[in-house]
Amino acid sequence: MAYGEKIIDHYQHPRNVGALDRNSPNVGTGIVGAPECGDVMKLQIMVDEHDNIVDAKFKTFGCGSAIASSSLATEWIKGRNLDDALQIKNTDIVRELALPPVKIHCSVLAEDAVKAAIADLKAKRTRPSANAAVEVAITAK
Amino acid sequence: MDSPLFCDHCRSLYPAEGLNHFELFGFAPAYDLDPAALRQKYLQVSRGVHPDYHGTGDSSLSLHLSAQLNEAHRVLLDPVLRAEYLLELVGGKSAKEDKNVPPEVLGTALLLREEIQEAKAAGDAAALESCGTRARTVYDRTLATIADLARRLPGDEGARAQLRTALNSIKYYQKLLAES
Repeated sequence: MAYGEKIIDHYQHPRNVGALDRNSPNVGTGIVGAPECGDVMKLQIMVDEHDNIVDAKFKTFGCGSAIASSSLATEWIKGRNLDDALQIKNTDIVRELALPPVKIHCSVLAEDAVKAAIADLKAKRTRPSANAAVEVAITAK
Repeated sequence: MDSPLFCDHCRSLYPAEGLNHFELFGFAPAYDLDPAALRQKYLQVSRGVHPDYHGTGDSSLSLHLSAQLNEAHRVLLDPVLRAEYLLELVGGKSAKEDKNVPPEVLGTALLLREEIQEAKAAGDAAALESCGTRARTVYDRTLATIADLARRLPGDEGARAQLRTALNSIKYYQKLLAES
């Protein structure tokens, strides 16, 4: 299977790999996974006071297409406001990276991660301790 | 009758239309299955459908049945796939159609994947082994839950939802074990 240049570029030079402070009230964290392959993706966003996404980071444990999809997603959402970011569809990612049909679920994962991060941010505002349980589970060893 | 797939007298073959994986081997659908008994039955029935045995020249049916037996054996031998299959036989939503897992599961998977990656990068065998041990612990615990719920199938929708969750969760832990 031949992969396109864009996907290889994002895979070899992923943008925005890393982490933001989960506990910051301006940071939303989305953790999603695909049971088919057991892979997981964490995507975080940081917003300013106008709900513009000023920074985005991701960490993906998965195949090259999953890494490229999340890398592209972070690039796209940076600078957008939350409502704009929600407009990103997995099909846009498929088109941009020319993902083959068997890798479409990777783009779905990236879209879901963006949505989960935004949902987490919104939940934090209404219930500041919404993530307490997750936090405990993640730090517990 | 030893097998529904061939006549033990004239050895002619019968298509396995409508038979589930358990029935192919003459078992009643149940989670608890003796792997040795399955193996024995698998070999016996496979031999029975082999062209050398029945010799009727119907090799396409023989091939078809062999493929079906191989697949059934693969699924039934694996405790996770077996539970997944039993859930499918009950009907309703399958684990694949309901991908939800608790956030703690994804959190644990992410944390351990991170630690495994770091341990590998640092060449830290002890840390990697510790990751493997922790992955094994959550895997075993989830498999015990799966076994418990699968034994009580069909159960109610709540119990089936729990089983779907456990079946999806264990996929992440299987990946952890493969990585560590």
